[in-house]
Amino acid sequence: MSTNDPKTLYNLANDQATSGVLHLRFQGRSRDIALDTLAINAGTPDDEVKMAVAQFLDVALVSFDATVIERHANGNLTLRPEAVFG
Amino acid sequence: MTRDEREDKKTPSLLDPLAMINKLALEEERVLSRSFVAPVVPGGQVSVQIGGIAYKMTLTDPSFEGWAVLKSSPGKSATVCGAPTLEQIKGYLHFLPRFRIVLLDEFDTKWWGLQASTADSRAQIAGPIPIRFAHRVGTFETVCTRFDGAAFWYESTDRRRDPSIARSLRQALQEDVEPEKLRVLGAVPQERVAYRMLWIKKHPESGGLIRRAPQTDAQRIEDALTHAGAQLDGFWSQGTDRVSVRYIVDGAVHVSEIRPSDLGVISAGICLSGQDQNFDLTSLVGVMRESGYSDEF
Repeated sequence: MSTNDPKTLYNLANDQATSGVLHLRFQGRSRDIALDTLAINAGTPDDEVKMAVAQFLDVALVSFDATVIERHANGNLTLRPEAVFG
Repeated sequence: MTRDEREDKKTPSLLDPLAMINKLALEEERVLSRSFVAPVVPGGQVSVQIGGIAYKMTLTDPSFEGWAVLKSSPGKSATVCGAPTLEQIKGYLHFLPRFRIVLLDEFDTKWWGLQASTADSRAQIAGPIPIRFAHRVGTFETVCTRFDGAAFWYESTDRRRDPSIARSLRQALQEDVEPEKLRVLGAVPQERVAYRMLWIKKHPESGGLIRRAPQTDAQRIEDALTHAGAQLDGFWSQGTDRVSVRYIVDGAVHVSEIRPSDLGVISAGICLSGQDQNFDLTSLVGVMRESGYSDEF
């Protein structure tokens, strides 16, 4: 594997092994973001997580009003829309 | 005959093929008789639009690289006949959308960078992109580029961005500060990604510690579930871009239909008020936990 290829470096930099990952499901799109890229960790409060993601995406914080954050035992986070059952 | 009908008679029909060809020929003659400004890459082509149709020309000097004033030559070719002024280059770039890019480094004599704002939806840019004709720039610098649909052309440095941030990142890289310990006030997420990329480039041995992105559908499905602490139990195809996935969340079995291409949910397997498509497989795991539902398998 060459580490002098920008695309390979990008994949490596975004990979999940170096820190926990936040999985984002927002406006019908999905992406994984390393927690240290967002300068947060698994214990960061919900409102700060949402603030960091809003800044990352350059969108208003209010966009995340109807979303929930899940914290997984493996240190990962998921930010997703609220579910409406029934 | 009404006035409108008389006007219609005077104007050739838009669908008259002969009139269209004549019009195109006149337009071609007009455009090709003039010189024009374009960026040229070695071995590349330049194109002009004639009546909305792209007219491609090969360069008589295939090794030329840079901004050029060009003149068309016989045989669908173009000859460099001078260097454009700064104003001419600005005039060319002015009509293209602007994108801000965080520069990485030179790879094979070409600068690469990351889009500074990941929220910009004007172009689907995922990952690093080459920047044409970047000069007098530095690593981590934010620059303005213009996108013509195929390439990003360097325009200028972004004067709105504080240059001390790029300097601090360069210094941190020089001092071997690990990405996890990077503390640069004001650095945005894309600059942190750029930093990590160049840190891995500087420390190729660290790349071996990191898993590669999964390639197969099975790996991607399994990784999506593992992220949220669920386990893949099996999956089977239901036709083009549609699979059923059986998975276990905290001991409860669930079956959902998803698109393997983007892992978006087609049918969750529980009633989500018709909002199944709001979720993907990873986010669905938490929804299943919340629902407390379990399939009988």
